[in-house]
Amino acid sequence: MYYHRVRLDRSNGLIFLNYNMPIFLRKLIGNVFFFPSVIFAVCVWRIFVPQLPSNSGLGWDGYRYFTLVSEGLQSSSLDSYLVLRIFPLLLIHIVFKLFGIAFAPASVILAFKIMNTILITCSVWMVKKIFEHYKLSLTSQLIGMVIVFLNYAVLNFTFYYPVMTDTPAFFLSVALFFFFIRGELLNIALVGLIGAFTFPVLLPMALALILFPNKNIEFVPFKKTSLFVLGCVCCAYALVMGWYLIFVKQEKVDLLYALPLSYGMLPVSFFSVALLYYFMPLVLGNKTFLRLGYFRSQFSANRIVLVAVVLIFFALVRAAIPVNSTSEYTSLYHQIKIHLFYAFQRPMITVVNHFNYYGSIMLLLILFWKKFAVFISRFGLGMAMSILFIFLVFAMKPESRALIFFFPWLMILMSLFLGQYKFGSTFYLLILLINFATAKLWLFFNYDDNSGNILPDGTIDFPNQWFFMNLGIWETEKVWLWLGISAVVCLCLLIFSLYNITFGKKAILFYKNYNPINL
Amino acid sequence: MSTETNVAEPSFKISYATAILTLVILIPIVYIVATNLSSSAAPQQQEVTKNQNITTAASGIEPALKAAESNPNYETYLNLGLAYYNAANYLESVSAWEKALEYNPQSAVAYNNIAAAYGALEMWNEEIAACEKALAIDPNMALAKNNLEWAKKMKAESGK
Repeated sequence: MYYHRVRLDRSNGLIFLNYNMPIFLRKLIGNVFFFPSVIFAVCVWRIFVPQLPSNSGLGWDGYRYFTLVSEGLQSSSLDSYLVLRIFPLLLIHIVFKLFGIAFAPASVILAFKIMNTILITCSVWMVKKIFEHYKLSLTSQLIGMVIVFLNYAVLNFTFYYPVMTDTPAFFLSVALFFFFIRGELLNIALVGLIGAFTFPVLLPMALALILFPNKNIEFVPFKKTSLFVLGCVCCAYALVMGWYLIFVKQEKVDLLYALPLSYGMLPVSFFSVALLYYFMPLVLGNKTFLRLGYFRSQFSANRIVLVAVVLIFFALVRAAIPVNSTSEYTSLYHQIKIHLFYAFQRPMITVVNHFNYYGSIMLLLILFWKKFAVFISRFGLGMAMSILFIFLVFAMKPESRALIFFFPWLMILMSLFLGQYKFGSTFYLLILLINFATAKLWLFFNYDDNSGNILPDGTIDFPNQWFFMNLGIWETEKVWLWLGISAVVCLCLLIFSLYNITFGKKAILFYKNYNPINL
Repeated sequence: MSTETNVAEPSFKISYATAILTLVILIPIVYIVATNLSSSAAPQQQEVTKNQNITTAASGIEPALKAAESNPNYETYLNLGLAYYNAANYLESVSAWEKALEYNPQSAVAYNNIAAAYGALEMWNEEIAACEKALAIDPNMALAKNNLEWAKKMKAESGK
């Protein structure tokens, strides 16, 4: 009875998911409600975990959001930047007004926790549907769920620091991908509009998907020299901008408690940033994007009208909300500065922190980048262009939280990419362990707002560092070092799990059975 | 690349998700329109009395300042704010009451006092915001309700 081939199971990577797995367990994991129920249960548990004990549990940014939730559109603190985060805050404001609930911090915190739980559960459902759409095996689905949800960003930070717009951004990002896969252009437009007032980069991402909605693009490789030139251009941008910010404008780390720039390590920092930028343009390394025929096949007057309507609608709504001041966050220079400058704090600090915040995805990106970039390019110019744009402008900020609108795309794409292969059980087990360790659900922070445990360089020492080590810019040098070592060790373990290493013989790649999914 | 087809062709089809998303967008938009309309409408005709008798007047600034410095807590900063207010130093009074709020973030009295100081400075938006914070903490606070009505009326009259 255990030898029936299950419809969705093409691989048998995990031992406990092998064909000798009891049928009831297969049915359980294959059930559409299984993953949402499990993640929902974890979220409900996290609701009762105490949150950051600062500003009555609101935190710092959260305090500003609380003011906006309490005061709505008449808030005097509403500026040109916060107005682009107003959507989820306004929804909670309206619900509180409708039900006559007082805007006390405890009530607002609970409202955010409930909203976050609902949004995460809905995201699980959508991700499950995406996996089913591509007929991923149960093993690949399970690993995909681990990659997307079992991390500090989704299951820990969301509830420790709940009054934020991060979880709505995560949900909207998943929703964009979901509707893109289903080819539902109106829904992409609507999600983009909501995103414009939640995490504003979601709007251009949505517009790019509307303009280039076709998937399953043929991959025609660039010449190596073309890719080299593209890489050098990106490198040059990063190096020139870094030099300009640090030596011409003489910018300093001006955020309280943030790790100061190490001028002694700057050459290594410059090299590591350049290295990352060199490989970024591989996502555009598809010659199809240069063909006129491709653009002709994508051109549609209806879709261009839809994009125009979305932009006009956005402008109208934005104009209808009065703001009291202009925030520096809306200036181009400030955006470039905050997203690139901090990447020079320490060598590879961005990679270290993305690994710490999002788990194994960062290591998987490094491991499979070349093939993965090709895989991304097959989803069309809209997806590839969005990803490259975000990489170039936003991805270098070590405060990984700021990329919550983008990482779901990478995580889902990586799950689909891995789903094409059959790996050894050790590889899957390592992903599970790495994500469990970095999610830190097992670690209860003991933040004390009143302790003045400041180190000589201005960073915050333990025990408060237990929390700040998860927020890139504010971690100590020692934490950066230890996290970096952990990342390297985990990367090595993953590589060892992929290769069958034998003395005196050539290393043999261990992943096999390539089954390309039909995009 | 596989030649099978499971590609979802892009389309403008309307689904349940479209209806839900439209509704979710419409709710705040209706609220934005309603807020804009109400803020531009004429104030109510009822007689509104500005009641800014915050609490009893404090004595001079200097003793209040010394008390706040030697024993910084909610009470001493509240009194310091009152002293500044009585000396018509409204901005300093706002700072002192904001300091008091650091010790007691749930103080509707402090928010109402801040509202009164903003009122004295004819900063109606700020007064309205402070009153609403006070009322969010204590919805029955008559002083804050009164000050809120006054501020709204004055804002409409002054057109600021």
